Amino acid sequence: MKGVLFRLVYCSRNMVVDAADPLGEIEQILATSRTNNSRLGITGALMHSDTLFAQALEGPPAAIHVTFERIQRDRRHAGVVVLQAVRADQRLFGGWSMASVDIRGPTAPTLPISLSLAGDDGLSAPDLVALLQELVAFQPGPILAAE
Amino acid sequence: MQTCLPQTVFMQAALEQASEGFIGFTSDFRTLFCNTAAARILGIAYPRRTDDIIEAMMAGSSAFDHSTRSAFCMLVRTAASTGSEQGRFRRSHRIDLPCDHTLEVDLTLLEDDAILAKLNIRHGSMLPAEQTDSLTGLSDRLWFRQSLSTLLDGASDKVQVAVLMIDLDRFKAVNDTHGHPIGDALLQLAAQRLRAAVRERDIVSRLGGDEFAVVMPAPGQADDVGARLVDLLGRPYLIEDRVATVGASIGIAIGPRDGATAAELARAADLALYQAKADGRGAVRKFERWMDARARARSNLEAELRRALVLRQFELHYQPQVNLAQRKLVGFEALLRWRHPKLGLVPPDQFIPLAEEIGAIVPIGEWVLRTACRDAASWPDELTVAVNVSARQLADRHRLPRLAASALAESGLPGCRLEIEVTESALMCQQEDALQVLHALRELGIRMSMDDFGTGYSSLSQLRSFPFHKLKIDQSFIRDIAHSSQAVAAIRAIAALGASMGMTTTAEGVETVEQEALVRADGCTDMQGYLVSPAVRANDIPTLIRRLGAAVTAMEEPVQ
Repeated sequence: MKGVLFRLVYCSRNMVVDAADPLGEIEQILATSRTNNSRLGITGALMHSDTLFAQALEGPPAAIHVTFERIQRDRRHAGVVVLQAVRADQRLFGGWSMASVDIRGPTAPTLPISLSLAGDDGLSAPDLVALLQELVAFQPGPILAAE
Repeated sequence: MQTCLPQTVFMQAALEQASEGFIGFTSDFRTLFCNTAAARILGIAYPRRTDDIIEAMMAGSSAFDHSTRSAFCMLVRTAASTGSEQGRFRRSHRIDLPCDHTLEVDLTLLEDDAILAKLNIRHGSMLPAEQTDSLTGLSDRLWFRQSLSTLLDGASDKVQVAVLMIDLDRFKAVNDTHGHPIGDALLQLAAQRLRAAVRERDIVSRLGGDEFAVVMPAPGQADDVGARLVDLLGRPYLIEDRVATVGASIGIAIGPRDGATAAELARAADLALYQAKADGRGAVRKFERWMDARARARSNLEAELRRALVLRQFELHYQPQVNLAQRKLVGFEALLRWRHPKLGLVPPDQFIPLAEEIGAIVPIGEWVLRTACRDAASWPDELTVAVNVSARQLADRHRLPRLAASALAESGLPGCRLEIEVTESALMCQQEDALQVLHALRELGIRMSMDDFGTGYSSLSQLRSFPFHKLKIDQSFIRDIAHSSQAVAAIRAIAALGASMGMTTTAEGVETVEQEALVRADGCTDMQGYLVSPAVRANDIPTLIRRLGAAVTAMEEPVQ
């Protein structure tokens, strides 16, 4: 984890909800992203609900650019809004090649989420990053470490 | 086998060692010779009976898949038929093969109806350097034309070709805001997205600037691809630490139905693209016949419009403006009319927008201003003349004030008898320069009037930024006055605003006595419209002045 770090946070509309197996699709997204990310030194978290994706990616700038462009071409989501694209001092999701937070999952209702993620609620990037960090902290454990 | 074209053993040996395939045949498809490379490329054993290679391919035997074989046979057939008609020629073609490979076919017609085909297989992405767009690595406009021609040569009612013309919306804004390096990077990413969204056999080219084209040899999916491209190209681009967004508009044409040659088909797709942009951008439109008809009509009209000034086909008609309190004539608004030799009087809304678009409005506007001043100079001293100016005339901060000064001097009309009307929207597009122009005109003593007031979206801030002499209330309010309380409220508010800011307010389009009574009651100071008189020719003005003078006396009875 040396060199310049870049962090990108975006949210988008979930388009897999009408697929035959939406959760299977998301599992597939996560699997691909974990494989690619650990190769590229990217860490981050993906939060998903029925309607929304929110993702934070952090890593070397070139890797983030390539990965984000690949994500952009994915037809399983739409309406991407970039909330943050900045140089970062440190990794916030260092232990995760891609943590997954299903906010419809059984743990979600017990979490202190007052934010509605159903639509355009003006969630800011720092809010979202903090929320992701908080949610990731409740996950059972790192799935795949970066590097 | 007739003759053998490479006549010496040396030439034969050289041909055998060439890495490119050479095959010679007659226009009736008898093979004259074939080197090893050609046999390898065509997937045949070294030919013993050389006279049946092409024939055999025509009959269906080849290592190529069906579509490659038919494309190749089509080329050979076209070469044989056009060759005998046109004499010597040379043509290059490319046929896409599976796994990103391309078969290059160079056909040369030699004497005696002999055709030499040079064959080469390349890795598909390797375009000749001179036909590659250096920024994006896509093929360029020339290659687009050539491959489209080749595909159209083989097209028929059953075999079709689609062209998608793609234009990035708001790309210029990205260049202006972020700089050209970011703009270039965006074009590179857009090119990658295009390439990734289409099939291997589709040809993606950058035609220049932010213009791209996709040629699809099998157009069944063209609509879906179009919609997908609008979606993908419209997604955000991350470049360095910036995020830029553009949109995409797409026009689709299907050959040979919409165009039998590359140029015709590309034009049809361009027309569809033009329509997509006119429909509000971010849209996909397919070519339809009426687009062509309309484009032709428009281009005729454009040519005629450019000539109209020289041919003296324009006329100014004048509509009287009347003071409501005394029902007294105060002046006229000059209205431009085009007397077309065949079409008769062309309504202004059918040629003024076009004149603005092609820039013809500037010389026309000059003629209008000079003519109106000259005409008005012959009227009684108290009458004013109002002249409309367009956004284009406000774009240059010196031109209109100079013109106005010269028109006044030339005609001897005092500045206070000239009124310049500008619309809110014209002010909106040319904010800074326009205000300078308005101030310069005011300094000449010219009265300034805001036209179509109430239809723009920034009325009040416009009024604050410049002291107008007059507000003209858009006729849509007057039309609704009898049955809409909102229209009445709007008119009252505008009249009150005018009064408090020391401006006169003119109700436009007053057509009935009832409307006149209402606008008077609502506080307007002036009116114009059919009720008083439609616009008349300059010659008829003396008669109209007499008639209105008489009418004033006749109407001198209490109103309300």
